[in-house]
Amino acid sequence: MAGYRRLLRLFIGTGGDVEREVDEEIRAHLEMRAADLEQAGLSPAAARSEAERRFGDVEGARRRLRATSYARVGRQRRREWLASVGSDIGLAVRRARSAPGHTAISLTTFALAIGLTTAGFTVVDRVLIRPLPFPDADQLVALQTADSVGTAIPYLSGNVWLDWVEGARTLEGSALYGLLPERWGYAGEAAAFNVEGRLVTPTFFEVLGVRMLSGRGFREEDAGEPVVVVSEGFWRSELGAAALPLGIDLAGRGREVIGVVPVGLEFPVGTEAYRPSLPERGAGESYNWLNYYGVGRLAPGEGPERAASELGAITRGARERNPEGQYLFGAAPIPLRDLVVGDARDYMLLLMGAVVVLLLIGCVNLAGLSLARASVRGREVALRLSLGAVRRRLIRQFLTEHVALGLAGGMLGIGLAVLATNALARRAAGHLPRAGEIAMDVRILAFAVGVSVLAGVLSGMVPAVWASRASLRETLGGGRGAARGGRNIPGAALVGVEVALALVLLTGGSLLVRSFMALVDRDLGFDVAGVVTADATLGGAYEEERWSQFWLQVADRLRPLPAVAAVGFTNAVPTGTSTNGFIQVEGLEERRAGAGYRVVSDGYFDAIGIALVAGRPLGPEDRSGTGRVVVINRNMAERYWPGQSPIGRRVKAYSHEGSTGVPETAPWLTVVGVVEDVRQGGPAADPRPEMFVSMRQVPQAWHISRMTTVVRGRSGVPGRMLVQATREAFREQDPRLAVEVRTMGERLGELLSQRRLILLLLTGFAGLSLVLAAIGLYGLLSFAVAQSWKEMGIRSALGARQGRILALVLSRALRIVATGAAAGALMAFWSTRVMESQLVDVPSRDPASFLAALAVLLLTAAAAALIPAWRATRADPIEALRS
Amino acid sequence: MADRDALPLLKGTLDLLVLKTLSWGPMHGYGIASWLESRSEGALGVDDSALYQALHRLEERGLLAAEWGVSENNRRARYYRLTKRGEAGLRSEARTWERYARTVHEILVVSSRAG
Repeated sequence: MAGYRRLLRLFIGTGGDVEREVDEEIRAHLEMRAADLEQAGLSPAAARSEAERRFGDVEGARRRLRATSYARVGRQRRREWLASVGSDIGLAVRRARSAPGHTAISLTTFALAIGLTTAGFTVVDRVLIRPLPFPDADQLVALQTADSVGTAIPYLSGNVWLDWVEGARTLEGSALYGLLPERWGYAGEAAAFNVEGRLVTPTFFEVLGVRMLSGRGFREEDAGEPVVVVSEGFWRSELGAAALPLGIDLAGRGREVIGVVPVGLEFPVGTEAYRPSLPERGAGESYNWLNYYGVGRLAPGEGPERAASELGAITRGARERNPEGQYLFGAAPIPLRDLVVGDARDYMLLLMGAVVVLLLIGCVNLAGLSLARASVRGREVALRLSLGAVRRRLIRQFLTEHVALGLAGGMLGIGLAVLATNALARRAAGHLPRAGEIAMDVRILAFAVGVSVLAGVLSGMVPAVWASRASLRETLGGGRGAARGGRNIPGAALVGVEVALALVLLTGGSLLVRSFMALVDRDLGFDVAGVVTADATLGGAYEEERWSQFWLQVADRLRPLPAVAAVGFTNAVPTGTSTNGFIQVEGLEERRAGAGYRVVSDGYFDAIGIALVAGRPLGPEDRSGTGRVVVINRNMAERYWPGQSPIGRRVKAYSHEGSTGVPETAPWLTVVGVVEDVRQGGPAADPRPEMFVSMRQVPQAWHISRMTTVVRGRSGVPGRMLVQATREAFREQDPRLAVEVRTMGERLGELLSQRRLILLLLTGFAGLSLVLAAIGLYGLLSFAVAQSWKEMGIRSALGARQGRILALVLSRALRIVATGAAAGALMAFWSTRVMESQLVDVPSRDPASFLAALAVLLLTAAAAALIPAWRATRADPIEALRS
Repeated sequence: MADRDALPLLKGTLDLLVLKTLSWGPMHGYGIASWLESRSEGALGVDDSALYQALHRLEERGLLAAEWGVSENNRRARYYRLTKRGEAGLRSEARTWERYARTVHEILVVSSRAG
């Protein structure tokens, strides 16, 4: 408490002085007059009272004089204060110039630490913390239903949405948007290209709260009409920002542009044009045609839980009327931001942790540097104190110097942060959700400035407090304060802390690197090279009877092509969605047995490269009317028939082929073959039980309403060509159908891209922390060597060999690093647990990673220590003996 | 309070008198008061408290500077002195006052309205 008040007085000063002065002045006057009156003959008492009488209104005068004095003193103090701050700054600048090395290191450390932590914080803030760029974005939810197993399904059928529109009170509004982006041909200025289009229901923009930059949004009567809303980017670059309404040719048809979405508000990201459509209510089956995504806005005062129970009740009611509905077991709306951010959330948290650690290291580094410098000035400070310098003023000088350094470094750091943020935003585009929103703003700038000042104050307090305690005894004693004999204990402790923190980051980075390498190496169970996929949805665009014919026709177009080796179809391609349901295994009592339910064509396993393990694959002999058969994967075989052959056994997939809860309604399927496992969710996922039934044998047509076409190219055929050929085939079949064609490699890359980016960022941070720790160590050792220059010289004069001196310095460094590394290893041991969810095939306590990190640290420390050590050997013995 | 027959000072005159008093060197407040009293032989009614207010006011305006010092009888006292601005102020104020006094005097000595 006392210290706090002293600190305040540093800057404000006391008011009591003024009153005392005024009183004294008046008292002096009265005494002098009384003295004169006494000399004139009055008694002391009479003289005194006469003096007061003559003065007049003493109290009143006192009051008025005080008031004037306060004002005057206040003004004076402010002027003095400004002048002294000015001189402090001048002193700080001179000091900085007098020690350019130290200043350069401090500025660099500041700039790097503040710059990169600001950039990191910007990314985390924009991707994870900030609400989406729509008004009241916290009220926006992504609409999802649930299947029989309880999995949240983010895809919706038109029917379920219509039910919700009718009955939901917890939602202020809701809208659908298409599952896949559509490619609409447009004849641009330079060349024809494809515009990324999306189907939306008319209330879409209203629900999101998007106000058109120009024109208007959709109205209910626009559904199905040839009107479009375009993005600002498209409007400016292709339409010359022309006035609306504007007629253009899009996707082979004349349409009218009626509105423009402002830049940054396109949802989903990347959409260039929207067309309005309303789903029609279909038969009960169509509850299974998941053609849309849904977005809703909660009514004021409602929360996602209440919406979940109301919407869930509505869907369950629908299921009672339509028992064939597979996805009507409940509703699970989640905040829209969570859907957009997705998995990146965990990565962002990791990044945040790394940012904080780096900032800590930076501050510790600075404190250490300034402490080293302060102990040099110990003697100077003690001397000045003994000559009457005010302790307060000295502390203020130290603080000013460090805050100035902090701000200067902070400015540089902010410049660095701007560059880094822009680079990060570019690099992250497409890999991180909301990458387009990454940009610095005033709030973050203020944060950076605040951190700079704080870092400056913190690192300045250390030497300030230390120096102000410097006593006369030390000056007279001729010692060097805390730097006696080069042993700067607090400084060494700080470097130890830095080393520990750096090791934590290094270990984390090392773990991620190993995990990534393991991931990439993993066997997926299917082929990636030479495989192309095409996602398309027929439900709603075609009548049911035409679906299987459609797929057959597409296959017929593709198979004869010279580039194509095999064509197959599946409802759930690896790296795509997964369709799971309950099964009943004959002879097993287990009620909750589950498996992935895959509807595939005959040539599917060949096309995607899944190996057959036992029995036979699905073939032309499996048609409607012949016995129901199923091929299972190894995982399922081992789980339900361990140690036996599953061939000939029977299962029912009653979630998908009957009414749930009523297994009797589903037919028995006989196992005829076993195939190899695949990692359905990508390299990071584990294989699950899966069962494959033939497209021709599915009891309900809706299973084949949405399929992925898998095309294998002949060896040597480049992926681009295969993609082109596939696109062409679909275009010939139906130019208006939305189809998304990608290579399997691209799909995989997309799954891994986030991971790769985070890896880059975190290892970058780890590397930087290492650099900072090395700088800290180097600074400390240099200083220690300089302090014990004389000692080194003497040792040399006494015959110590160069090697001995080298060893001396290095052993000192080793002691510090070893202590820090031990502490760091413990911290890492304890803290890498939080990374477990990101690690694959690598335990969070993986010894190889820990050792690798330690090795890197020791190497760096050795390098940092070498230069000062070498310099120590050059201490001139003659000089030492002379001084 | 001074003698009851003393002339009350006209507004602004006190400042001028103080400046003039200090033109010969720094003095403390009591010194100024007693000098003015003796010089005017008690004719001018110098109110002590008014004097100190004037001193502080002039100090605030930068015409005077003040310092604590030791008085003749070894007592701590606050000494005032003229600053450069104070000197300049004294000259111009004195000139103005003289002109004013002369003008008033010339009207007063005229014996008749016509003269």
